[in-house]
Amino acid sequence: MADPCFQIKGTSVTSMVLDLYHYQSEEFARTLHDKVQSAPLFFTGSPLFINLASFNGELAKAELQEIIKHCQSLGFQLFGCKGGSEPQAKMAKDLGLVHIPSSRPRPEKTEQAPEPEPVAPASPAPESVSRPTRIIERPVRSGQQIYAEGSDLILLAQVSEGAEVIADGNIHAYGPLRGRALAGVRDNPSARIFCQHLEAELVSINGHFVLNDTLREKCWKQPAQVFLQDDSIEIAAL
Amino acid sequence: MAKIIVVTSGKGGVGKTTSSAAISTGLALRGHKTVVIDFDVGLRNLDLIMGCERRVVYDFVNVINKEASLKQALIKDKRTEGLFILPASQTRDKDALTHEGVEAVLDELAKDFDYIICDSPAGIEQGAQMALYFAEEAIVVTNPEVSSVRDSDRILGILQSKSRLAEQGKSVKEHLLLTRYNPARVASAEMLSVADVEEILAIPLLGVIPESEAVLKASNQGAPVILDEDSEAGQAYSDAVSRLLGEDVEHRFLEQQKKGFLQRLLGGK
Repeated sequence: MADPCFQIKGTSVTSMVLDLYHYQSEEFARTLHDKVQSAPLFFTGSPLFINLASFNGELAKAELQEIIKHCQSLGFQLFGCKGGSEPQAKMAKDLGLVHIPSSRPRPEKTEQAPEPEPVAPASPAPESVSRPTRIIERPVRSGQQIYAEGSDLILLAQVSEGAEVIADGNIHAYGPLRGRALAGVRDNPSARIFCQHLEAELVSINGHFVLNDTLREKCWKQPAQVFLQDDSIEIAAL
Repeated sequence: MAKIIVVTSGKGGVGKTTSSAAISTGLALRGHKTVVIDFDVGLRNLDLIMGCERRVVYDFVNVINKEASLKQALIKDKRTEGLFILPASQTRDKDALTHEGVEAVLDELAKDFDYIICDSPAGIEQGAQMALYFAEEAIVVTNPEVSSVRDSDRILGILQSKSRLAEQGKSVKEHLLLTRYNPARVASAEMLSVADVEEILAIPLLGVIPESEAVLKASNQGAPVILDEDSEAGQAYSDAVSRLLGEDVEHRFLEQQKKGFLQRLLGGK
């Protein structure tokens, strides 16, 4: 069989989003310029799309063309337009932009946009966004894996041997912890594991780990916390 | 509407088919119209244990492939009123089972029966997943030893993630059935105790079936052990059926039986 010359897969790309509230050419150009000046390297060549979901009124075609020009001259790669009304979607397409359908209904027009900073490009580091804590109420059984991405993980029932619980933040286990627990897996040395009943096969913080044999020497089957001190795993009674 | 119950374990040889036969017979004896389906396509055993192997003409796969009607394939149990067996195919493999096919058969059975017992094959692959997919309740058969308990834990995880109810955000009702329990070996710490297994699996205990010669004898004779009312295993299965029906029955046969003087003299078992 010949090798296929391509493969189509789903993927997700990190991009910046510019939430546009209202538009006035000079003001927009100036604010965007100031923003880029504050961190030139960060913004240069960044993929960007405009979100019209909170835009007050209708954006004219000429205005959108201006926005495209402003963004390009400051080094952004403007590729799309999100939300907005039907005619605006068509307009964006006519100007060669990708139209992304709005993920939620347009907010009420009466909702006033925040005044002090009318043009606010996306928060600079999307990874630093903290997510709500993940709470698991049912037992985590052998062979199952639970990952709390960008958050703490709370386990209300047991974690069986052969199960794996992973969190970017802390792990709190209120049932017996018999499987593997890995906290702070994305470079978070201050993450900790708290448990009511320590019987784990392995505990790990930020890549440092200890096995069952070591755990048996201290706080075995007791309430305990696991944390990192000078790059070594410490276990202390609670 | 019928209640669909899967009898599963992950590990092989722990007593799934024996338990399926006993529990379905027990339900039928209490007047509930019951059908027991052998999902172990390619390694059919249920018909042997139920003593109807010579009466198998059409099987589950024939019905799924519409080569036979359900009525033609169902075997009426000769001993117990209201009990039917849907045997597995011996000549096919587990890929013959499809979600749509199994669902259609279960839907048709649900019109006539009170209980549908699905006897799962061992393992956690497609055959076992097919058997548990449509279940509302699960009887997890476990032996008091670590590997069996670990596999049961694994299958419980699959039940709560890959079954239809789990996909709908609901949960399958779980029952623990501990089989081949030997109180003497538990006392000498060769076997896990009921408490040990309950602690690890943390699901409600449906019954404890003592290790008994009656089970092997029953299998070889093709008569579900529950019909042997004198045996401890038969009584324990009967208790388990009562609990499955919601009755509150105390657990028996958990302690080592003290042998009387005469029994010791005569070497009674």
